[in-house]
Amino acid sequence: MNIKYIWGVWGVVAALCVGISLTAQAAEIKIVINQSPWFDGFKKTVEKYERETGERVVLDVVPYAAILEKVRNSLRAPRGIYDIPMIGVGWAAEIYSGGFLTPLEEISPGYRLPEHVLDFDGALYWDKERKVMNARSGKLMTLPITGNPELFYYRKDVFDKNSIKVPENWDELTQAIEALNASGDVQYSYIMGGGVDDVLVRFTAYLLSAGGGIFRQPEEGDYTVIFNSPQSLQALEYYLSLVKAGGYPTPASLEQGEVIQLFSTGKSGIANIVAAARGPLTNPESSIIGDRLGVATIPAPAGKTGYFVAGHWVAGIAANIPETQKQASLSFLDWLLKKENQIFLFEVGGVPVRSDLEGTADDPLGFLPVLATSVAHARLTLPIKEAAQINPIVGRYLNEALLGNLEPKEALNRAAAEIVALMRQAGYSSEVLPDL
Amino acid sequence: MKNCKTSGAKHGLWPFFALSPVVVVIVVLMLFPVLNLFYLALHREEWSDGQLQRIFVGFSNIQLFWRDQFYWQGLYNTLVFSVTVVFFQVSIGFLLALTAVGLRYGRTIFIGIVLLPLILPPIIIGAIWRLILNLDLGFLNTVLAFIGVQGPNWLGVPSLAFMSVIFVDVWHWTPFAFLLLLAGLEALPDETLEAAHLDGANSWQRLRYVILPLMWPTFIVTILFRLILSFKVFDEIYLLTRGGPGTATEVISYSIYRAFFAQGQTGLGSVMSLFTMFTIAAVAIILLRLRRKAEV
Repeated sequence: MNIKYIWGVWGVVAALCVGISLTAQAAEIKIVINQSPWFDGFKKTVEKYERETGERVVLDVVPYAAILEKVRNSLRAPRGIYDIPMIGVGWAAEIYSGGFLTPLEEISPGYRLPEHVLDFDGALYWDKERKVMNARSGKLMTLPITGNPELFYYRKDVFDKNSIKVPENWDELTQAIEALNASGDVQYSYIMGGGVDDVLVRFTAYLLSAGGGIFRQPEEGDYTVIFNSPQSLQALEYYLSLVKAGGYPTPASLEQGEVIQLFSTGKSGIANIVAAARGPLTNPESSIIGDRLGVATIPAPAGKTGYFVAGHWVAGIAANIPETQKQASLSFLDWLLKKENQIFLFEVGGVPVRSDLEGTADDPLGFLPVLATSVAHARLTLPIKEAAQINPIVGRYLNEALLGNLEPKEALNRAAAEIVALMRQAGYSSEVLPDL
Repeated sequence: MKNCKTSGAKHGLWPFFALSPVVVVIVVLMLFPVLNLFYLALHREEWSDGQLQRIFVGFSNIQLFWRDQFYWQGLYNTLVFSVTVVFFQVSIGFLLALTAVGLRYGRTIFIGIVLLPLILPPIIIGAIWRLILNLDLGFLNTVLAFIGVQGPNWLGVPSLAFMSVIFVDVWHWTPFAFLLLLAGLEALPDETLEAAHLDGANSWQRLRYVILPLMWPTFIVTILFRLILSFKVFDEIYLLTRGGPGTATEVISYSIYRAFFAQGQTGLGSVMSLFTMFTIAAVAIILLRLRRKAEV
């Protein structure tokens, strides 16, 4: 055989090897993310990152219902498929406690949460010893991706036309609903989610603002169940009265997607929707009320501070990926949190996670101050890994109360009894208040 | 018998060796997953530092199962759902099969149209019916509004939601019953039917005294298949109502899904799965005995 031919073959093989090796060095970052109202803004920001750095980011976009299982499967495997899993606050504790993520300071020694980046009531930190999210005693495990508290969206044009004051407390909210009902300008005056999987998140702002809750102080290890406290009862009775006055005939089946649909098609005067819905609600292609929209914080009882559910998404870095991938992932996340990139994220429809953007970004809706207030008072109700088991219990009883199958007192008592039984079975020292 | 023994002795271990691939397949594919469920039912899974630990918890998962708030309502709903849908599917399927047998022209087109729901993927069926039954934007309520009737929330009122998923399941699976019953009808002996005809039996008498008794074993098989499949209903519930409102459309498959995948409780999910499996097996055995009696 011709010696030149042999050398030629070896040359091609060598070139291929070099090519493969270079490709391996410039490995892409793989992210699993849910399809959501905030996704478009995030995607455009990722594209900006790719343009600026030349790095490649692959997004595996899955429906909300499927993401948890995809995240679990990847994190539990010997070698993960995804470098960065997006994690919902409702199941973050399960992921933290399983040891599936690398604490960020182990990837970059001394790494701390960048200044002005929100920590969502300590939800980014995990205290391994006490098995609870806690900013004071835990390690930084994740970085926030989207701040997503419930906000009070309303039809500014209808409010102005009928001289309705934007409510700041429960009494004013009741009056606003009555005025909207009397005006006849909208089909439903007030709508919010009430489905089994939705109701706890929607109810939480009322629960917390009234002084109620699920546990007394879980972040400090006090797991006394207070879901059947008089304050929780006050919140539930008020929530039920709101839902009834709001006019939607079957609120117990209403879920967030439908609420967004009803509000964006002009059928409702007020809707409690997550902050991330700002993008689709203001987009003329998906909403007919984009230029007639107002936003505020959800009203609290008169004289009390309003608290809101910390319904955010965070991004962690998988423990089961190579070190180079971890470094690349952290670089990307750190870039995402920089002020100029957060401004860009906001302007393309995303929800930022910094507290210092007010006055710096184009914000005709006045969204940023509302978001800042809501996030500053965002609270975690279930910062423990049993959250995934507790959510359906609470959701079911609240849903039964919405349907009228259970009296509010009975719904709270029964939910509390089941929560304490579950906690004790899981090994916690947990008590419960006497029945209402 | 003696011959058999002689034959067995003559062949030695060969028959066992020949059967072993099938035995291995059965053990691996059927027995092992069930045994694994028993194992999981006695353990709790804990993940720590990325490693799985299975902790023996005795009958603790069974205690959890007894007091589970979703499963028992789901079992009741599933029983009502299964009996109702199977009754309608077999009845309508039989009427359609009789129609198909009697058709002289357009039989293939008729069968094709009847079978259409069966070939649609469940996700499309969910999307179609969700759009039809939507309160504000649904096709059904739009049509009702056109004739001056305000339609209800078909998937939002508990009793209506349950009836709606029953209706969708009947629509989806009646073609399956139709197919089995059509095959049964076409396999009936012509000479028996002709003899009844010659004896002066009218159409109703032929149906009542000849066709129905002869079709009884086919009915049992159809009911058995549909009962087992309807016990496992999941996709329609997941896509249309997710078990709600309240627990109005909760079914056992959805309870198991919730335990395994939403709550991450594999032990509880395993106990639910085993209980469900044995319940379905008991129903199947009863029906098979009925079939045997019918054949005798």
